[in-house]
Amino acid sequence: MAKLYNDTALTKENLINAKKFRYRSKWAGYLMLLPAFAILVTFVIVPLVMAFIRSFQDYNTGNFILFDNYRYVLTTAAFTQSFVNVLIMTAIMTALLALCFLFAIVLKCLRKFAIGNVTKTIVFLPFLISGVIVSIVFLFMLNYRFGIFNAIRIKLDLDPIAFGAEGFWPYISIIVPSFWLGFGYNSLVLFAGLINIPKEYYEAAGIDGASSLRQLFSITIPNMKNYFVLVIISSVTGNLQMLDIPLMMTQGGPQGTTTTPALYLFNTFRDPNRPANVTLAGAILIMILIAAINSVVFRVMKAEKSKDD
Amino acid sequence: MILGLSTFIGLVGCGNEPKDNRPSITIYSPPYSQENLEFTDNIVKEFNKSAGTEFRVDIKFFTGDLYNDALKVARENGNPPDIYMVSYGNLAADVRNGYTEPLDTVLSSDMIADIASNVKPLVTFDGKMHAYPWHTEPSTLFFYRKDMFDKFGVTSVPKTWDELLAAAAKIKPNLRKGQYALGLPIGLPLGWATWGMQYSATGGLAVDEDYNILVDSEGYRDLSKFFYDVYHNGYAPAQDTSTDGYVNIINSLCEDVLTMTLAGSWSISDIVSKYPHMKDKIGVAAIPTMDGNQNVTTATIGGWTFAMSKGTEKQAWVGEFLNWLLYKDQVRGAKYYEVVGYSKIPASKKIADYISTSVEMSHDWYDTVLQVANLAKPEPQFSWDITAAVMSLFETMMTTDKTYDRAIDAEIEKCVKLIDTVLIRDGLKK
Repeated sequence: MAKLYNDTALTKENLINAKKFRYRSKWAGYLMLLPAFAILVTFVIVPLVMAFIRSFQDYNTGNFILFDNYRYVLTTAAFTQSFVNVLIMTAIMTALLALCFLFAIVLKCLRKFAIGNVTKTIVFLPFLISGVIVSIVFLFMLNYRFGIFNAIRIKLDLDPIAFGAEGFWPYISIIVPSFWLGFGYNSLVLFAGLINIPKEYYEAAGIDGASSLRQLFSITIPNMKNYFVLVIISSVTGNLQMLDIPLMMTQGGPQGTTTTPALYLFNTFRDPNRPANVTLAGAILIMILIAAINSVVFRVMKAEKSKDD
Repeated sequence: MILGLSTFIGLVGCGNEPKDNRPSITIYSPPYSQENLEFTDNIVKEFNKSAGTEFRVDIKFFTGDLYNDALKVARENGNPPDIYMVSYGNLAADVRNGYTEPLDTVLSSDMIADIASNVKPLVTFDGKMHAYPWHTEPSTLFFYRKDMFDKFGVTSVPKTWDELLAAAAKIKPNLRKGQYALGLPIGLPLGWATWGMQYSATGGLAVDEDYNILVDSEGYRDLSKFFYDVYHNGYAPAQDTSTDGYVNIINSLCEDVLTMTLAGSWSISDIVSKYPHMKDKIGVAAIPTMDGNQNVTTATIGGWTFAMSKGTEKQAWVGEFLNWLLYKDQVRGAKYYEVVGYSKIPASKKIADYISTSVEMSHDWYDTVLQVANLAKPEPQFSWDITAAVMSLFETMMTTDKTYDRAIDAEIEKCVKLIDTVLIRDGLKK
């Protein structure tokens, strides 16, 4: 009697193929996934679960102390201020995204020329450099005593500027390198959004007599909404996790105004007079915040997309 | 391939002596300067070669922040070093956390009796000695350029803050852009490096032993006014002029960027090793105080000790090695102080006496360090957040656009509130 598969008799050819592809069973798939899964479990899942458990424990005794570590970190003014710092930096960097958008428009105009591709490559290059290297490059320019700007000012008999300490300069010392680092990536994301808008929309609007400005506000920006959200969320997440640039440029000063949450935890986790597991509690709070922001935003986006569909 | 080979050769040949078959004890050490690294490495080699013990010593160096991480990992793995170096400031936390084993039964009574009386309390907790002190060093001294004082007509070393400001006012008009009359700690060191100034101005620190907040006082107002005046008159740089900031601030003094500066006593070692040609041009004194009285605390005590890890099974060997290193031979013990330019004070009375009687100093720096160290107090054990709050008060007063009178009350109030929150958080106040 012929073998059946979904009530269909299998031919000889079917059976030969079945033998040939006998390793295409689900267990073979799982087996192949196993190394990757083992690495993921060992280096991501287990440390994460352990960090979560330890954030509820006293480091020395191992006793569970409920939310004491969380209470400690949340009642530490420097930690809570670091979130305000991130808000300020994100607000400024969001405003600066307008420059990325303008650049994306320029790239769109240039995309049929060779210079367009060269420009794209050049602006994307900083994204490939680490924050530490970028900071060193900027330190060469902004260092109080050895930086090129201050060297020129001193030659001109002007007082050097304390880029890491005076007025609004510390923010600028962090925002400019961070923005430069992400400029290429953000511009290319927005460029991808721009070229994905169907040109028929613009043709129809042109026939209806809509001005360029009207087309910008009624077609381009609404169709770019998701791309804007993506780059803003990347910026918020990046700023919450940012450590290297403020550490190198300002060490979080003056008066903690450029300390990010990650830098605060880095600066304090070796303090022997502080409960050691507080750092874990702080790190988990940052992770939860990032996950919450991303989750809310993407849910809203999904809901709006469903409405559109 | 060449890079890989070079790295391999570098690792294999990075100062390790040939292994012998004796069992060993392990020491973890943070080399805080090149001189310290070379001395410690060589002295351990000397011990292994010539002490004739049934055991040998393996020393492992970890630089910077890696040191604390290495200790933490070793403890978590249940394999801490038999001996590790710990600063006076961090020892109390290690004792509290149960990382140390008392040394009273391990060391001879002569060796314990040899510790200077002002140092012994720093390593004694509940009547037990939890570390053997190596040396002490004041965190803050006053360094000045004698040649520039002569050039600019500053005739005496400032002893009061007013004299210091007057000297700065005299020096400033003679300087080019990028040069400053006075260097002060900036950023985080503004917290710890001014503990001595706070002691001299107020007799204590921001919080007393009963956790009363003392910031709203004349002393802290005067100190805030001092910082306000220095920065608003442009006497001091608004940002660090040396790589690594206050720790290396002496570089700026030696390189003509500063004329006077506060700096830790380790700077003497830097002058001797990096700027030997500047030795005769630099003077060292206790920092100026509010009223000029320098027979008060003007610095906190820094320095290093050797602690024995909790649970180590080789306690007798630990005692034997510490005895050889720090007590047995005062000539050997004194070698380190020569290497670091007599910038530190031995905790051993025997070694200190030997240096005082047998070593001819080319300048009076050692006497100054000794005088300041003898009056210095231990670093506070309260939360760093309290120090950070005071640091923020000073930093705000340095940079505020308001007049001193308009700014000070609000800033003091803010500082007190911040400290109050910390004390409540730490359960020290309801």
